[in-house]
Amino acid sequence: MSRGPSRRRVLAGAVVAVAALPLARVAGAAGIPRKGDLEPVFDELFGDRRPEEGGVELEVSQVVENGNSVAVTVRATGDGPPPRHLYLFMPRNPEPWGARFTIEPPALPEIATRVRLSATQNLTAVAEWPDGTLRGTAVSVLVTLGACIDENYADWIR
Amino acid sequence: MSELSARVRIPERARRGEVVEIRTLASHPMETGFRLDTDGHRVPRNLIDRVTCRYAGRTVFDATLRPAIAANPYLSFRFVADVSGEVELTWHEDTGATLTERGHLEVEDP
Repeated sequence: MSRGPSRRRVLAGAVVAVAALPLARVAGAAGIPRKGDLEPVFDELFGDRRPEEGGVELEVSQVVENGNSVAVTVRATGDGPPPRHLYLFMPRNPEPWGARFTIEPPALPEIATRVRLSATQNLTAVAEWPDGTLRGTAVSVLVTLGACIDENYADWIR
Repeated sequence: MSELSARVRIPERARRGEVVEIRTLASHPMETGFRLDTDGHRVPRNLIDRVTCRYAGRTVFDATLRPAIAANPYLSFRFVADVSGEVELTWHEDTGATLTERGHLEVEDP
């Protein structure tokens, strides 16, 4: 029986497509979400201050299968004085503010944890210096299976 | 309330100026409050919402955790070993329960 080459070819195509994704994402540099999702929580935490791009690095897989536990490392870069707080934001989670880490010397501004992502989104990190300066970065993370998948949960995904 | 338990790796000795890493893993569901049980009732929120670390009497790390932190919260952070002293980690649950684990870090001159 001839199933033909199509299935294999489709599979190969899919593998290539997935493999190509992270590169495309890097090229497309996510940028801190400026409008919409994060505005209310930025208002709440930072008033009218908004983060400038840079000064913070996020290490996270750009494609994750399971949004229930995603390894993330956030660190401040640069030689200047260290920030006092590092924040993680998940703009499309039911609650976009995920964590705040307050660091006092001699602790270093680098933290690793595991987060939940309800859907594909631009994971965002923001560092806050004692003088009020905010800097941040965002990485687009493609989530195959979101956290808390549940028929009733659909309403909560923004 | 969940039974609080946690594992933590605190180095026992370091050279002065060396960067040491603290790694912790707590056992906790980090219930978000968004999930429904099989009867359609909302499962109440139950989080470890704060984890702090004191080193030689100073608070060096203070984390506020929210529902987006995965179940069994894992945290790792680093500090410069500048003085011998106690390293004390405390997990705070939103029920008011706390758990503290301690270790002693001996700092030696190179």
